[in-house]
Order: sequence, then structure tokens, then C-alpha cells
Amino acid sequence: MNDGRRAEPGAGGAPVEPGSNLIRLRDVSKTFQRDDHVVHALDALDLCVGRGEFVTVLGPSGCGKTTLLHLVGGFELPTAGTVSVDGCEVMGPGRDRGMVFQEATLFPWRTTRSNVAWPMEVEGVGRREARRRADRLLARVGLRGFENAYPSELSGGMRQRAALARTLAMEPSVLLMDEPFGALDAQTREAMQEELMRLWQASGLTVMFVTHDISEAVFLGDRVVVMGVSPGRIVEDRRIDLPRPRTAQTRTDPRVLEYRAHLWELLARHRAASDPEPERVP
Amino acid sequence: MSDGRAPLATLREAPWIVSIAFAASLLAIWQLGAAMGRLPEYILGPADIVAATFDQIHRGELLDRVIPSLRRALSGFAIGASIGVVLGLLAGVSRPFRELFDLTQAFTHPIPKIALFPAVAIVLGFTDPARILIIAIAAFFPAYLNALNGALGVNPGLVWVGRNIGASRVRIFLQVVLPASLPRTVVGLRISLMVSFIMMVATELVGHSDGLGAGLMDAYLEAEYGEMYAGILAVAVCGVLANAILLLVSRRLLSWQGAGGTGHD
Amino acid sequence: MTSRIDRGTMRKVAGVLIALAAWQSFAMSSGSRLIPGIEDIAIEFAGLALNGELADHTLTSLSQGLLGLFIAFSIASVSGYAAARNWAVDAAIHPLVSLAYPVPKLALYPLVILLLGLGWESRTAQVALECFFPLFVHAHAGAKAVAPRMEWLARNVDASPWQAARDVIVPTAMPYMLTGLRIAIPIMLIVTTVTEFIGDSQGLGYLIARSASYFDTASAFAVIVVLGALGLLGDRLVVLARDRLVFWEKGASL
Repeated sequence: MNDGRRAEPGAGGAPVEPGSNLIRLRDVSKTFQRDDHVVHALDALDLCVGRGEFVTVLGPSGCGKTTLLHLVGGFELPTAGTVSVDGCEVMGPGRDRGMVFQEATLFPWRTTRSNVAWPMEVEGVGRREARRRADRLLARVGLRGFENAYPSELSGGMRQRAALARTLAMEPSVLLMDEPFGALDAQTREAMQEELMRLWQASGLTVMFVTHDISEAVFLGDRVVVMGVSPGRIVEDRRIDLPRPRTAQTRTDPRVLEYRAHLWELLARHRAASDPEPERVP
Repeated sequence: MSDGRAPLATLREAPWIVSIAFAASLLAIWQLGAAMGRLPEYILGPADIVAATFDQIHRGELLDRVIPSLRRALSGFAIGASIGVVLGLLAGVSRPFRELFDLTQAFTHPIPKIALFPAVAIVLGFTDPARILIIAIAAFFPAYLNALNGALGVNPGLVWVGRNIGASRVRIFLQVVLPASLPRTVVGLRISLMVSFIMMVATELVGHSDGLGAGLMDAYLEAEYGEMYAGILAVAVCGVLANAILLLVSRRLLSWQGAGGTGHD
Repeated sequence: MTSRIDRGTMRKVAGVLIALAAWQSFAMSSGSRLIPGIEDIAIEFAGLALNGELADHTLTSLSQGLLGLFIAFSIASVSGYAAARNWAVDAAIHPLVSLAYPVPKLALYPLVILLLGLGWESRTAQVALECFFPLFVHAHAGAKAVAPRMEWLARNVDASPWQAARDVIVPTAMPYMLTGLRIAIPIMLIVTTVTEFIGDSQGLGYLIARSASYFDTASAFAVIVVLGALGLLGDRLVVLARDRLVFWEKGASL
């Protein structure tokens, strides 16, 4: 199956030393033509994400953080520079990079189980086997008993859980999450964050998680990549030294407050420095 | 709660009582007027209409009119609406295809299709093919436009999920675009069906024909008022039934939409 | 990007040219006088336009049609509003309207003729009858769509019922009403045309029927073009009015 990538030319196929960087963006720019002017969504951006690492991308709206995720996912191609995953240049979407969108994009005409089973059906897994695996995944994300419910019958948090289960059904090596908890209420959001930590810890997945919520970025990430606007670029790449596994107790760690204060100040400074730019609606 | 307001509050809980009472009183006034001979001779009372209709059914004349009419309306609808849905969905997913049709559609859509009938009838005669052709052309447009807008309005996130999963274009069309545009497509089909029935009556009113519309016109010309009312009633029943059946089918197809329903009257 | 737009425009124009070429080659290959070429239609159109017939008949059709539409719009607005605001009126009217909506009201035309005669009155009444239903449904939905919070606001500032209707309900209902009008205009043209087919009279429908009786399909198509143009014009006018009147609701509802 075409997984939307091709071996990187020149560098001999595997330029990356094993166990280090899985995702690599080199000198990546992305511009959009809007009506009569050019929008620089990303400008000469470099970023590496290690295998098994959890990186959160933090920034105000319009900083191109969603575009960054789309580039890694292969939904958009860079105007300049290269994006590579596991040593292969990204040329299109692929099953190795599972995307979880801001709003749960479940198929409303399929039951939860059938939604989760779909990626496996597409792959050619038998219907019964796909259903069996779907039920197991649903149990993993805490949706046992809702296998036959339609998305319209689920709460926002449950829909996001189901969408996550569907993405996991693709058995990706990279999980790309675009503000997946942005639409949830504060309490549900925290519960989902803790659940995601539990799932990730057991999975060995590499995750890029986009958010505009400072607390969320600090709580989840091994690293927080802070982006600035116009043009979209990385203004800071900060390691978060909080113990793993992270649980509800982590939130009370005094270092969390320090990180938050620092990031808050950083964002405020960059917001003041940059010209007001109309928000980009993806 | 005071005694005076209690009955009104009860009524409000069960508005169907008001609905039935209103309809019944309308019928009663109409019947009374007819019985007292206050109405012109061509306005029959409800009781006479029902009697005339049963008489027509009994003599088999009504069925002889209903069958050719329904055949025309339904075959025209089936042909026009199915072509409309297929082309509309294709135009929704393919930009070149959509652009190719865009202006032609914009110019031909506003033409009242019935205006084509006399010209078509010169070539094909006042025949079934001429009538079915007109009905099909009229039924095409609502089906096409709604399927097109349905496909255009599909949440792009759903298509992205399909691409992420590695589904083929054909699979994305059949398993994502088609079901996602179904609510809108069904709305188009319901409009198409209504238009088909209007065109059925319209094409039968004009020229020599059998069927319900022609029967109405003949009865009017011969002052056979009982027959005329039976025809009107038959047209109404056909229209209501066809709409109800399509509504039922679409509710089944769209049961996943949850409590909201299609939200369309 | 500009090349992209150009290509789109080119495809749109190409689509029309292909359709016209297909018609023309069909007309020429059939060899029948009954299937007119584009040039025949253009000649007949010019003839009808020059001798003033086209303008006369268009005026007749439009005045009848628009009067019918106006009557339907007035009745539908008032009754739709009343039904949306009062549960008893709603219970009385709404089921009847829903039941009659899918019925082709054209079946009542013989009865309407008996009541009003074969003249313009019966045609206007028939147009009003057929256009009433979509207009009612949309007026009703529009008046229902007023958010309760907006109404509380109106009551909160002590707005009179008249002020509340003018400043809260009518603006909310307006986009719906205009959508209803977009549906009703084509219906008006259909009904006007059909009713003019019947009996000797005036109007564009009559002109088509007369042309057809002389086997003059070229003239018939010339009139059809006019009807299409009227439909297009009416639709554009409503869209224009919507963009002006409900500018805050960009591209809403079809």
C-alpha cells in the first residue's frame, strides 16, 4: 500500500541514526495565496521529534501550528524544505501517521464500533476480526458498553475517545493531535489528558500535540515547542523536566507553575511584538 | 392554578384536539352550507364528494386514471432524480466536472420546464414519452442541486480521515461522501417528487390524454362535478402518499442523525 | 492562482459552448424543421421582440404572476407569523398546510375556473394558491427561529409588541422569508405558464401554445428563453435583496 512517503533522495535512504529522531522538518516554509496577498504560515522552520517522544506545540491562533501538523500528516505539502518521517520524505497522508482532529470526525452514520473498525476494514481485515479488535480498542479508551451507540448519542469527551480509538486502529507509529480536547469542558479535558498519558505510556507512540492551552502543553509534553506569529516560526523549544508517569498529582508539582509562568510571559511578549494579523481559518 | 385556566392548559398539552376540532368544524360548515343549498351547484359538500369518489372507485374509472398518471410521474421521477443525484454527487467531488456544468445549469434551471411541453409534444406527440421526458427534466434539477450542495458541504475532516486511513478515492466516495451528503440528497429527492406530481397534472391538463389531470379537465368541461372532485381527491391522496412513503424511507436511511431528524418540513 | 481562476472560467464557458454545440448539431442532423437551430430561435426572437408582442405578453404574464405572488406572500406572512406565535392557531392551521403541501394544487384549477372564470383572476388565484405553501412554511420557520434570549432581551428593555416584531422578529425571519421567495418564484412561473396554456388568452404561456399550434417550435423556444431569463432575473433580485437586507448572514440557506 502506498503510505504517502518515499525514501529520502541522496542521503542513502537512512540518514537518521536509529533510536533518535523519527520526525524531522528541515527548513520548512509554507505560504498560502489568499485573494491578493501571500500569507506566510511557516517560515524556514526546523524541528526534530525523537522516537517515542511526546512533543506539544504551543502557540496563539494563526501561528501555523495546525499547518505544521498537516505537513507532518501529509495533508499539505511544504512550499519549501522537507518533512521526513522515519527517514522517508512525506508526500501524502499515510497510515503510519494517525491524525486526531479538533472536533471528533466520526462518521455519524456508523456506530462507535463500526467507526473504529473502518480503518481495519479498509486494510482488508475480515469484518468479524475487525469488530473484535474494535471492541478491544474501545475498552482501552474506556468506552466499553457504547459499542452500538451512534456518535450523536455520545458526549463530546466520549466522541474524542472513540476518534482516538479509531486512529489507534490504524496502528500508527506517530500520533498527530490537533487541539483534540479544545472543545471539552475543563474537568473533562483534565480527565482526558490523564487518560491520554496512561495510554501513551503503555504504547511507545511518538506524539505531536497541538494546543493553545499552556497548562495542557506543560502537563503532557516532554518538550514544549512555542510558536510565534507572522510568519509562523519556533520561538522556543523547552524541555519539561517533570517525572513520568504523569498523573493528577503532577499538576501540583511546583515546577509546573514555574513552566507555566515562563511560557505565559514568553507568549505575551511575542503577542505584543507581532503585528495584529487576521486569524487563519483552516 | 385557577379553575378558569385549567381547560386551556390541558388543551395546550394536547394540541391535536384543536387540530381535529378545527378541521372538523371546517368540514361541518362546508357540509352545512351544501345541505342548505347556499353554495353554487359546482361546490359539492364533503359527503357528496366522498360518495362520488366511492362511486368512481366502484366503477373502476378512478383506477383507470390513477394508473397511467402514477406510471408517468414515478418513471419520470425515477429517471430524472437518479440522473440528477449521480451527476450532482460527481459534480460535488470533481471541480472540473462542476465547472463544466455550472453555467449551463444556471441558465436552464430557471426555465419553467412545463414551457417545453408544447414544443416537445410537437415532436413526440401528446404521448407518454413526451410527458415522462418533461417530468424527468423537471425532477432532475432539485435532485442535482441538492446532491451537489450535499457533496460540497461534506465536513472535509471526514474526507481527511479517509485519506489518513489510506482509503482509495472510490472507497472515500462510496463510504464517506455518499452517506455524508445523504441528508441533503434526500431533501432534494422529496422536492423532485413534489415537482414530478405537479408536472404530472400539468402535462395532463394540456392536450389529449388519459390520466388524472385529463380526467379533471374533461369533468370540468362536461360539468360532471362529482367526477371532478373525485379526481382532485385522488391527486391529493397520491401526492400525500408518495411523500409519506419517501419520508418514511428517508427516516430509516437517516436514523443515525439522532433526535434532530432532518429538520425539514 | 490567477491561472486557476482563468481555467475555471474557461471550463464554465466551455460547458455552455458544448451544450449549445450539442443542441445545434442535434438540430442540424435531425434535418427536421421541428427541431430549430440556434439561429432559427434567434431570428424568431428578434421578430417577436421587434413587433412588440414579446413585451406585451411578458407584461401580462408578469403582472398576473407577481400579483399572485404578492397575495400569497401577504397571507403567508400573516398566517405564518400568527401560527408561530400562538399555539392554538398553529394547532389549527399547521397540520392542514403540512398535509396539503405535497399535493399539486394545480388539480384545483378547474374548480378555481368555475369560481373565478377563465380570465386573469383565476390565473392569479392559482398562482397565489400554489405559492402560498412554501412561503407559509418559511415564514413559520422564520418566526419560530427567534432565539428566546432575544425575546427576553426585548422584554427586558420594555419593547412594545410592535417594536419587538419590528426589531427582533422580522429581522430574524427575513432570511427564511427570502428563501421561501426563491422557491416561490419558479413556482409562480410554472403556474402562470400552465394556466396560460389553457383557453385562448394572453401571456407567454399562450404565446408558446399558439406557436406550437402552428408547429412553430422556433418561436416557442424563443419564448422559453424569455421565461428562463425572467426566472434567473427574479432569483438574482432576491439574492441581491438578501445580501442587502440580511447582510449579517453571509451565504446562509442555499
